[in-house]
Amino acid sequence: MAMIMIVDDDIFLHKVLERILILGGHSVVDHAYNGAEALEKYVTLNPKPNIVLMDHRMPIMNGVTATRELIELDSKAVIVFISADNSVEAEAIDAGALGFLTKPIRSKDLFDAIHNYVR
Amino acid sequence: MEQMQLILSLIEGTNDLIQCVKHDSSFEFVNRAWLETLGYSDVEFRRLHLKDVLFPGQVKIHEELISEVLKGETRTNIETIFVAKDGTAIYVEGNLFPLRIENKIVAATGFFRDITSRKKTEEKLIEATSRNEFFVDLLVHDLMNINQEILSMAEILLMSPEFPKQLEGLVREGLVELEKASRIASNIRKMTKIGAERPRIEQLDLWSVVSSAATTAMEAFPDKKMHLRTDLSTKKYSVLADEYLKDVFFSLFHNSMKFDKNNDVEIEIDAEPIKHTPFLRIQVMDRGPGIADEEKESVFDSFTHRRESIIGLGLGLTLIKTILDSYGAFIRVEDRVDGDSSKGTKFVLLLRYMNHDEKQQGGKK
Repeated sequence: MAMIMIVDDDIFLHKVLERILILGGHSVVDHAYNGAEALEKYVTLNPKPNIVLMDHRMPIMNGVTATRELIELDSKAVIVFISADNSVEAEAIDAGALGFLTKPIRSKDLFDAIHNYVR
Repeated sequence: MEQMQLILSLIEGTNDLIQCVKHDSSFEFVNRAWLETLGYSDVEFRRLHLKDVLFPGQVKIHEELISEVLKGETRTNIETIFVAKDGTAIYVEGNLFPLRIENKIVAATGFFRDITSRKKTEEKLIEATSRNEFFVDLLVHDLMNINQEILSMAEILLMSPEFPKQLEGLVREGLVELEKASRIASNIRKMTKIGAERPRIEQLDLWSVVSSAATTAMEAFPDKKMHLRTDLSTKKYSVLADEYLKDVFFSLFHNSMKFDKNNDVEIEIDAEPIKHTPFLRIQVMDRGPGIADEEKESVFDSFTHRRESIIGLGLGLTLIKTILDSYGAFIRVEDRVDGDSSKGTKFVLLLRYMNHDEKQQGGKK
């Protein structure tokens, strides 16, 4: 079962995703509401989350930039995008994300992605 | 003498701006249209220099052009911006050529057409297109987030042991409808993007695109099974298309899965190069209810269709047409069995492709 960090500017989405993840047997170890906050929190987390679920369009710092910087901080970080903006998929993968899920996604797709990407 | 009068009347009668610029950048001659458009009198223009009537950012480049023309060059289809006496920017396009008297270049003559109105319209169009794209993008993005929340809440209900079993079916149907709404919104965003951007054409392996689209279409119908028969295989054909080609095949497969009442849906797809042309003919055939002859002509044009077709068949097919049009490909619909529209549909696509020899030459076409 994976330890997960959710990065999304939508507060309500945090609630529903966390609930789904818990029902799937996972745990949410931290929440961030923009890319910059995600970087700050990721650094302090110990142990590190097994997977970071990353949105793209967020204030202060977007998901692609946050991913690039996060991978610089920790090359082993596992980042999977959950975004409504599939036009940035190639950029996200280029920045170091392992996967890209386009909203809206079913819980099964989310659990499959977690299973596939968590080492 | 009569010919001279004729030439003068043409010069003065035209709405094009005509000017002759001397070596010292002053004006030897300007015509009536030039004076009227820029707002100067017949006396005032004699005191002007070229830089006085050019938009600041255009002075250097236009003076260089005039300099080249005064050395004997001709410059055609140039665009520049004049500034009228009252400060109004006047967009013009035209030609510059040397005026020779007794084999000596005495001035640079320019014929310009006032394209301000066209330029303003183009600017407004670009602005409107950008605004349209921005709003659609914003709307679809936010809608997808909301749909994600609703979908996740419904799934939480379904996972809950207290949720009444007899209501599960209803919620699952709701989820399917929600995904359908998301797909429609996504298609609208794609159509807006395709209309606003130039396609990023690349070589794509046809089978990879087709198989990926088939997988996604199958996932949308967990209760049905797609039987895809094809002569395609990996690396057999490389087509010139963009990332949206998958949407083309997905929409075709999705329609076949949706409208075929059988749980086992048979789809055939074959491809064959058309001799002496750069096109590959791809046929996608199903055994669904088919498309009536009177519908075939307008089936790709959902905006003229009845409302229900936008939700169902129409928008997907319009998206297909929009995508294919954007990179010069074609599609038409026929009966799978000639003359019997009830035996299923055959979509015939013509896509540009790279044949084996061209691929070996590094893809030069």
